[in-house]
Amino acid sequence: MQNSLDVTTDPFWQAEQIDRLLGFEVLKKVCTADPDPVPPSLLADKIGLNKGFSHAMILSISQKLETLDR
Amino acid sequence: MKTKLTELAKTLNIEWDEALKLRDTKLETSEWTGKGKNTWLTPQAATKIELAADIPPAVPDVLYARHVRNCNNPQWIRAKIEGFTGNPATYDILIPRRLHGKLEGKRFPIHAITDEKGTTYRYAKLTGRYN
Repeated sequence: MQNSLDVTTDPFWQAEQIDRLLGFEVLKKVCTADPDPVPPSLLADKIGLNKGFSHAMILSISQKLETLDR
Repeated sequence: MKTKLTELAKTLNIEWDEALKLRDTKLETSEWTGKGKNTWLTPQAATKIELAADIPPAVPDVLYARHVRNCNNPQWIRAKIEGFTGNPATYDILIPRRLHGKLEGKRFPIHAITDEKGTTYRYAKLTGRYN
């Protein structure tokens, strides 16, 4: 049974959870001084986003940098 | 090679009670064997205890939950957490999207990740698609 007033579909609530999970992953990486990259699919599972998120984010950053260079 | 918890506690210079508390809160039951002072840890569990003794927030608390219902968002489920009573009775747990519909009625370990604003619960056995 699914609830029509489900908090998990609220973008603000999702952003808060993603922020917390991403913060934890960064803390863990810093504390363990782990140099190994995290595969995009694993990162997506860890922070609750789709697996294309890392690629889209890098693309967005590179496009912004290109715009600044011009 | 397995490590004895008493020896690890001595090496880390922590009290026995604190070592037991770390074992109970930071490790899954599959990561250690034995009882009391005869507790043996897997190499991964020993690494976790070492890190948790130094920086407790870097190792999330491990809890166990049982699926109650699916949410509208396929990456989240509603589950009852063992040891938690009262209101709310169930909590939102983040799961990998590929496990949507596969955890119904099952008991599974979760991580509790807490910051100053609140706590998020996440399925513990995350491996990623390619790992």
